[in-house]
Amino acid sequence: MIPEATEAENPAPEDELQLVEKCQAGDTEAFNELVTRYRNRAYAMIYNMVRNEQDAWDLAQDGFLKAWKSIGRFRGQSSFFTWLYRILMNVTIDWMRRRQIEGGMEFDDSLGLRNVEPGAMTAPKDEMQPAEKLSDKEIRARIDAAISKLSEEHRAVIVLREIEGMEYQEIADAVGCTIGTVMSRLFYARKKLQTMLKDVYENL
Amino acid sequence: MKTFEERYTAWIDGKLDGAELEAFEKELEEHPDALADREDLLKLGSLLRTYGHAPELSNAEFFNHQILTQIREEEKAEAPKETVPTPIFAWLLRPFVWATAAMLIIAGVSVYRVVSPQQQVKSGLDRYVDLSPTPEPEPEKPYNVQIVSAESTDPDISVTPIHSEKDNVTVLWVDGLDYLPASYHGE
Repeated sequence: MIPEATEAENPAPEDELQLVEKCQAGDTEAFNELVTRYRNRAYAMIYNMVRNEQDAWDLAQDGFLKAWKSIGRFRGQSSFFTWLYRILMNVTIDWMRRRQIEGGMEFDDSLGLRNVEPGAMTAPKDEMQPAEKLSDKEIRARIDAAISKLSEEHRAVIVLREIEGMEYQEIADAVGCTIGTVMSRLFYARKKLQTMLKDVYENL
Repeated sequence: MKTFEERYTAWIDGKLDGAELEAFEKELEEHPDALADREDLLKLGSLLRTYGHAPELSNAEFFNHQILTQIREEEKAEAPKETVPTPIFAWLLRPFVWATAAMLIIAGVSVYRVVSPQQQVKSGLDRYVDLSPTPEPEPEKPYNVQIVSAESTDPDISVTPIHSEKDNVTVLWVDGLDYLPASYHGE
């Protein structure tokens, strides 16, 4: 499920719908209110994907601008935030792909799976480091590094499920794929992270 | 039919129940490490939730401000320019148009009479023109442009106008400009 928000951040559905209708009539102040409500969650989600504050800031801006331009097409079939999430996710994934092409970067999608059968229960332990106590900063750095090695698709599902706490259906709506694909991507993304972070969570 | 990966993920997240859970756990009997792996993945999830959170959004108010500024700028750029006056203005403007046209006609006639009286005499159409003095032909002006002042905004650059009556020419002499590079001429 989408994470619980504070009362100020989580308006009654009618209120949100009214704001959306005002936006569709061209009311920028109503859109300002929606930005205020969702900016922190939007920024956090994007940050968790790109692991860089400035890039996350810029991409969140782009995402909200795209939302404003296409708000006329919002029909209320999902919540506004689910709809916004999808825009933000598309903006972020597009950016990551462009960056990957421009920078000649290549995600190693097979990382950690070379020796893992789809049905294997445990990840290989050959990349583990000797047991040592890590500082919070080091732990965050290890998580950043591990997540940045995932493909865009795997990164999206792991962030939305493990960090944002979203349900499979919500992730499917945000990413634009089936629930089955979400679950399958989660399986592989977890296996990769398990390989890269095993020494971290075992020494906490 | 769900794949093994899908059911395994659902099992890790506690989303299997009833007959589906029973059947899958029976299947997992062939994988003795499954329970340990599940514990592992739950620890991984806990690690990500604890340490994976993003920092606070900095300059939140500026974040909104920048979005709104961009929206307004784009809307301003896309707005159609007003070119057609409203009907009430068109109605009000009409007398001014006629008055302006009448003034232009009067001015045109006056200019014609002042500028070319000789032509009028030749044509014999205006008999009282003979009483008016014949205008002296205007001397040819030495030049058509008069330089009132010449100055530069850059204090290092001075501009001096120089006029030669003999050659009927005015030159603006500019001092202090950078030299063109030697390669410029070649290009």
